[in-house]
Parts: sequence; structure tokens; C-alpha cells
Amino acid sequence: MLLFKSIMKRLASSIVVLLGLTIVIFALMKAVPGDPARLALGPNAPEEVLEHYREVNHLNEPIPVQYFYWLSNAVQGDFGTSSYTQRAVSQDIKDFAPATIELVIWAGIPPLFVALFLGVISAQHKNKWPDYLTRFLGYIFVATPTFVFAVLFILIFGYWLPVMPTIGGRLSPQFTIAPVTGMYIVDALIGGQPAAAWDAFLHLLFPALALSLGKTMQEARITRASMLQNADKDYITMVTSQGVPKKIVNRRFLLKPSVIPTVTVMGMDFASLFGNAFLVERIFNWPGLSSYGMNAILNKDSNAVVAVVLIIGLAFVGTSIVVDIVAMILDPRMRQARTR
Amino acid sequence: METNNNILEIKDLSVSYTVANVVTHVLEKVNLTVPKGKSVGLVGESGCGKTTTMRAILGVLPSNANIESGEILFNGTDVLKMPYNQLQEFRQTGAGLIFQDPSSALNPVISIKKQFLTSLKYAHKDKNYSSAQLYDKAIEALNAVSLADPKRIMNSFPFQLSGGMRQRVCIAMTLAGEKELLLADEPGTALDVTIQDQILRLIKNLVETLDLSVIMVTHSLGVIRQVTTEVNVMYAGSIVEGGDTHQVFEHPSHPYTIALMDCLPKLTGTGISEGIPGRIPDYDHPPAGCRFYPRCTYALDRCKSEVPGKTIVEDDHWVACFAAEEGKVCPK
Ligand SMILES: Nc1ncnc2c1ncn2[C@@H]1O[C@H](COP(=O)(O)OP(=O)(O)OP(=O)(O)O)[C@@H](O)[C@H]1O
Ligand SMILES: [Mg+2]
Repeated sequence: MLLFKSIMKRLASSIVVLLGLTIVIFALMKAVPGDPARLALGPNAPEEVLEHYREVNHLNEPIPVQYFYWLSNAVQGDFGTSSYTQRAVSQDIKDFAPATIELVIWAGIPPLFVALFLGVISAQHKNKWPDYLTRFLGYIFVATPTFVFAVLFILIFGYWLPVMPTIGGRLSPQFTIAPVTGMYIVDALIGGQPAAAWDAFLHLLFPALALSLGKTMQEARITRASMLQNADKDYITMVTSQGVPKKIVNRRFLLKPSVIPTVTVMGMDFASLFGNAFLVERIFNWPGLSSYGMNAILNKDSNAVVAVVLIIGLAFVGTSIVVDIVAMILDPRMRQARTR
Repeated sequence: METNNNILEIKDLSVSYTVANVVTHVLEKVNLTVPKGKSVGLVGESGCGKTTTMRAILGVLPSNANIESGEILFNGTDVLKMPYNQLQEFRQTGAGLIFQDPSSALNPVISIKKQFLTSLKYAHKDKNYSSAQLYDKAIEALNAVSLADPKRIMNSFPFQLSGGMRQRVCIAMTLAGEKELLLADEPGTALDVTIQDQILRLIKNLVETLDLSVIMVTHSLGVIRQVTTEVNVMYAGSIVEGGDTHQVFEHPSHPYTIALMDCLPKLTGTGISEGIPGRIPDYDHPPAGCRFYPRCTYALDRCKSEVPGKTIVEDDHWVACFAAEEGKVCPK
């Protein structure tokens, strides 16, 4: 009951954050120098056409009114036309977003479990070989930038041991997949095309690894450290001293308090994938939102930039809501803190 | 003293801690005996190693602790050499510890109910109680430490309880385990006098009715007098005087014990160390001889380099002190 109430409060407060986010983005859009009508229609457009554009797009209204129009369009998914692709921004997003979402899901969710698993193993075998191995790889992976992984993977798994499709992209040209969710692996499986699903998986595997390896090892390290720190706490000694078997102590009494600090870090790492995906998308030729956003910036395509920034912002807000809810479920003290 | 009458015998137990490669020799040849069905006191100033001794008995020392030597015989079997299964059984039915710090002894993110029932499940593993029976046992134990509304407490998390309530929950949890030997590490320090008194009487009652054996760790000589029949005075990791509570109180023979009793009025406040000039020596370079030597007003030359052995004072009362051995210590 308390949990439910706390979650509702958290959701309510995030609406305020979202509104704030839209105001900031709108303000930035307005702060960019240049006449939006001119930017949209090009240097040769006659004055009447520009005036008509301004009229239709409410650009002559006071700024707060403009904000209101913009927001109500945005809520309906209308971000205007992209001056670069000459299509509706929403259509572009529909085409590019699934690629990024697929990448982020694979680079974000399975590694969480790998990180927890490695952290727990490492802590339970402290100063034995599984621990040394995890820590050794950890140091290397944490210190390696994402794009170095990307280039190395192409070199190693593209040329030396050719298991990975080097042209990049999401799928080899011989396959076509009927779109359902936009996520190729899932769609291929739904369409009964295991070969295509496998091909899509190989395309996805290395970008996802490049994006996630460093973060995963970082999270494993945090989990390990907090497990070891908590293992000496009185509340663990207490149950151990009562004769509760070690396995049960670890699983039911040690793991929970130890993953709470990791969860917060994991959430932030997950959200930052949307932004970090850019380099990886570039190197692997991945037709995702980050590449699209980058092109939009280089081409001063303000409608597209705004949409991309808003989506990444939404992803951050959404992730932090999920993180907070998970934290509330794990840690009863958080529920209390939120209701006060 | 026949061995078979003692539920616990600690023999020459030495324990050190390692912090950043510095080894501190905290316990130095501790000897302590608990006769079956008796309540034995362990008293000494803060930092002298009481909690370390209690944890060593259950094999739950912090990970940086090291048992250098010694034996801990529980009903004749050395706890330190027990294989894992036997050690588990010993923890489940042999001995239970009431932790000194109640605010850290309860898991902050797990409900009292889950912690309590898990502990009880293993403490009474051989009896095959149903979970309803375990729940009833828990409620009964919470009632026994005079906690009002035990059902609400079971459904709470530790942060929703006051310090005193947490302490009583810890006490109830350990008592409900119904072990043969109770290790009570300053039970009731966070409680007001009436409740503390009630808990001491409860423990005393268990000793009398259930033949429970107890080690009562405390700063308070009053508590020692109230509940124990034997007492051990610990100074800087060694037991310096011990025996029948009455006799030790009548004829304190170690200069440290005498000093302790002299500052009795001050004990109620901030503890012992204010009362006796000087402080416990650093454990990384303890004095070679008697560890009390630097603070002792009766110190002889040999105290500096030799460790005193046991001297019998009266039939059930001994002391480890050269000055006392030579009859040079006379309580004022
Ligand atoms: N985990 C540890 N690492 C290093 N030193 C420790 C550790 N635990 C205890 N010690 C040291 O061992 C000594 C004895 O500690 P212990 O907790 O046994 O004292 P105590 O007699 O229970 O004191 P108090 O009455 O204050 O509870 C102290 O000097 C303390 O600093
Ligand atoms: Mg202590």
C-alpha cells in the first residue's frame, strides 16, 4: 500500500520534470540564432511565402503561446518537417528509433544480469581465480573507450576471424523482414525466419558488446565491493551466528542490501546508452536515432534536433522512474523518504 | 573443577586483527570457563576484547581477524576444529549471541518477520515446527521482552522501530532460539533502567528454570552482582582475575579490579576509562609483561617483562598478578 502510494507520487513528480524538460528544449530552440522560416524554406523563398509559413506555424504569436502550440503538437507526435530529409520528423523517428531501441535493449538489459552475476561470483571467491580474472578484465574494459572496442571488434571479428558482417547495418541484404515491432530479431522470429533472426543477431552483437562491456565491468565491480563491505556487517554476522546456512545468508540477506547501490548506477548507465550509442552507430553503420540526430545537428535541422533531444530526455526520465521504483521495491526506506 | 560440568571452556585463546598490514594482538591467552546452568560475568573497560571473545566462540569474527592459538571447547568439542556441518549445528542449538549494537544487527531492507522466522527455523530445525508455530514462538518471545503490539513489530522494517525496540527485538530473537548457552553482549545498554532490569530478570529466570548457561558481558558491576555467580575481569585482552562473584567483590585482588571498584560511582556515566588514569595499551605493541603494568600503582620490576600466572586467592577465586602473589596489594 505504502509502496503503491510512493510509486504514484514518483510518477506525479516526474510530470513536473517532463514539463521542465520541454520548456528547456523549447527555450533552446528559440535561442538558436536565425529565422526558422528562412531556415526551413531556404535563401530564395520570397517574403510572402515566409510570412505565410510564419502564420501557419504560429511564429508571430508571443513566445508562451508558441510554446503551447509546439507542446500540443509534440504531444500528438507532430514535430514538423525535417528540413534535411523533407519528411515529417515523426516519420523519420519511426524509421530510426527502433534500431536504437533494439541496440540499447541488448546493450542495456542482459549486461545487468552479467554484471550482477560477475560481481557476486567475484565477491564469493574473493582473492581466488574467478575474482582475479573478473577484476583483471574489469580494469582493462573499464579503461577502454567504446569506440576502441568498436574498431577492435571490426578488426578481430570482421577481418581476422570473419564471424561478423563487416559492412555493418542491421541485416544482410538477402533477407527481408516484415516489420511488426521494428526490432529485427523479434520480428524475424515472429515471421518464422530463424536464419534472418540469427543474421540480425550477429549484426547486433558486436555494437551491443562495444557499448556495454565497460559499463558491465564497472557495475560488477560496484556489486563486488558492496557485497564484501556488507558481508562483515553485524546483520549478516547475526544470521550466520544463528546457524543459517551460508547459501541462504548470501541469497536472502546479503544480496538485497548489496545490489541497491548498483541499481542506481545501472539506471544511469542505461539511460546514457542513448547518447553514447552515437559513435558505435557511426562505426557499425547502424541506422539509429543517434546517427540521425547527429546528421540533423550538422544540417541545422532544428525540428529533428528537438525531437531527438526530447526523446533522449524522455528516455532519461523514464529510466530514472524505473530505477526509483526498483529501488523502492528493494529498499523500504526509500518508500518512507518519498512519502514525506 | 571437573571438565564434564563445564558447558564451555576457552583455553589460551589468542586473537589478532590485521588492519592495513599492522597486526594488533588483541586477545592474549584468554581462559574462561562456564559451568553448566550458571551465569558467568565478563567485565572490563571499553576495547578490552569482550566482543571479540564472544564472536570467537561462534566463529563469526570479522574477516580481518585471526585466531592465533587456543581452544574453545563446547561440551568437550573444540569449536575451532568443527567441520562446517557440526559448526552449523552448534550455532543452531548450542550457543546464541545477543549483539551489542542493536541498530546494526538487524538487516535494514528485510522485514523483522522474515529475519525472525528464518533465524528460528534453523534454531529449531530438529523440531520441524510449522511456520505458524514458529510465528507463535516469535510473538511469544517479543511479548517476553515486553514489546507492545508484537504483530505490528513483526511486519515492520528496522528503521520503523526505535533503538530500544530494535534492541529488544534482537534479544527476543536470540532468546527464542532456546540455545544451551547465551552470550549476552551488554544487553540493554540502550534501554531505560526498568526495562533493562526486566530483561536481566528474564535471563536470570531462564537460567533458573531452563538450566540456561550465560556469559554476561557488561561494563556494569551492578549487573554482574545482580545476575552472575562467577565473574571474569578482563584487561587489555587477558583475564586478570576471576572466580566466585561474591568472593571477587569481597576481596578484589588485582590492582585493576580494585581500581574498577573504586570508580564504581563513575561507572554509571561514561564508562570506566575515565575513572582509572591512563588507557588501554596499543595492541600493536603491547607491553611484554603484564599488560596493566604501565597503569599499575603496585607495579614491580618483574611485571615489566614477565607475564604473571594464576595465583589462588581463596577456594574459588584466582588472580594473575605478581604484586598480589607477594601480598603487596592491599585494597584501601
Ligand atoms: N574488525 C576489527 N578490526 C580491527 N580491530 C578491531 C576490530 N574489531 C575490534 N577491534 C579492536 O579490538 C579491540 C577489542 O575490541 P572489542 O570490540 O572486542 O572490545 P569490547 O571489549 O567489546 O569493547 P566495548 O566495551 O567498547 O564493546 C579494540 O581495540 C578494537 O579496536
Ligand atoms: Mg563490545
